[in-house]
Amino acid sequence: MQPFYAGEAARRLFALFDAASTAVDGRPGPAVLICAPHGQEGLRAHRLLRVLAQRLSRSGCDVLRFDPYGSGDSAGADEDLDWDGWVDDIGVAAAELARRCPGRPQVWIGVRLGASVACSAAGRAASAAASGSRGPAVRPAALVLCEPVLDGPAYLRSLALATVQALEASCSIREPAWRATLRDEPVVLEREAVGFALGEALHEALRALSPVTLARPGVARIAVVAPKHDAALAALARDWRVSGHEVTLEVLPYRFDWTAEEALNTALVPPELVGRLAALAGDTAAPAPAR
Amino acid sequence: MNEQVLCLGSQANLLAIWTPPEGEPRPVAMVLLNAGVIHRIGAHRINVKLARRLAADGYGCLRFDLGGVGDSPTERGAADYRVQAVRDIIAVLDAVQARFGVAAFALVGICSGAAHAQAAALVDRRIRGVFLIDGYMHPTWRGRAHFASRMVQAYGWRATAARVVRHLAGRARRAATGDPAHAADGLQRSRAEFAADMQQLVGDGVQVVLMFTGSVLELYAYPAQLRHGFAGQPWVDRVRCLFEPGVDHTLTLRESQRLLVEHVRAWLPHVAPAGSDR
Repeated sequence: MQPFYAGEAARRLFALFDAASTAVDGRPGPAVLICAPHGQEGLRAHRLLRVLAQRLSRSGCDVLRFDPYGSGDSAGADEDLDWDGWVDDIGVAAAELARRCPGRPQVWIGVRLGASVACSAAGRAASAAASGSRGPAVRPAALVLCEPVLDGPAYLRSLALATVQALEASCSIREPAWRATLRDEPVVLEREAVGFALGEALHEALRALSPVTLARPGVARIAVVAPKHDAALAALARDWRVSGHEVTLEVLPYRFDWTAEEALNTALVPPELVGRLAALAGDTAAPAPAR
Repeated sequence: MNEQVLCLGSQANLLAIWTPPEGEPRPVAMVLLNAGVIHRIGAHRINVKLARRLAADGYGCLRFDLGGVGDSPTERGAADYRVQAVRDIIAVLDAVQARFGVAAFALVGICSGAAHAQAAALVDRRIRGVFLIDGYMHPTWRGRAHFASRMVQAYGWRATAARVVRHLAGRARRAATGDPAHAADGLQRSRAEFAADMQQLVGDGVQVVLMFTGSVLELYAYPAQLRHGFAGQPWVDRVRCLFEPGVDHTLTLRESQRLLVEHVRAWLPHVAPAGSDR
């Protein structure tokens, strides 16, 4: 595992590179970029994604994890994280991965909001390749999306509720003002976002996020994993198929509380989820069977 | 932002981020510890926020993952977790001293991080200050009465009584069954051991802050509980005690995070290398 800082001096990004420790059938596996969730979900998923990276590296993949600007060990305050900047940072991380693994197909694994932003980044990379518009220079060969966030306003409401629940679970005596704020001024708690202050730009982007506004990724193969049937996700998968993407949608009944604190007595790393994401990363990058 | 990634320890297994001091460097560096299983950025990224603010005040800051936590693999031949945690802390102090020439340190830890900071300060005299959040707590009857009073204020008599009954029943059940999770809390320290630790630390001139949050009111319920609970002990008036019932254990709200940063900033100037005049 090699930790390092990448990107421009004014926007340094912390990244971790796990080199493949083995080759598959004498050939290197795909290069995998992991796009982590936002805030408390990202903190909670840290170990899961570390284990996933290790699993992938043992199966022949080179893996890059990174913190977008305004998160984790990267530069920037919580409020500095915004959608467009995150898209750009995925581009920087993908370029760094391409520099380390030249000529190798990339699979981007996105989790929760990281999956949604990865779709956006892939879509902009496709547009950039087609029309020269601004966007990431590297295009993924495949996307693996774990519980992507499709409904921004619902996500914001869930952050507000999770903030109150975190306080109520942690504090010895409940403060009635938290529930009152949740009822009367939910935006205040949306911006608190379970301890990771949400900047105005990201808040606005999330208010506008829906399956309609989420960019088509422009990627040949997409695998989506969710813990239960989701009508919006199924509709989006159909839409993407119609527009020429090869999409698989899997219901995998794992249990993971994305916003829990230390999560005592709950799984930090659901093995079935790690195993499936690793397998999908390998499968989606394999050459398409002859038709 | 010019933070540096370091891989420290004899096996280079401890992933650390060094935030260099801005301006004239102070003679004390901060070391920020893991809270439980949370990786080096800390609960709600508090270690990053602390490090960058304190670096602006001239303090170099190191946040790192103990072996087996976050991105630091466990050292080959590692000792018991608590023993190894202290070894890891000492290893990073050695590395910071060797690389950056700082020989005095202040540690901040929440929960298990507080326990590790306390244990390390007892064996390494370069540690001149410890800021311990929700570390060891020793309930008193007076504290329980304060807590009950707060409960009644918040929920009324009936709910409070029901909670007390549930609590006592749980205690009796655990005592009867010898519930190992309850009986074998490896991080617990007896009242006498805690008092001896504090005596040693203040005797060595270590600046100690004990902060208690609203998440531990059952155990620490009013500002003077420490002084009442350890009345007559020579060290008790030489440690700073902060009681913050409006703050939760993991500093969820921005206001709580800001409050902690300001508490640490106000305390740090009192921490000085051994033998220096403050």
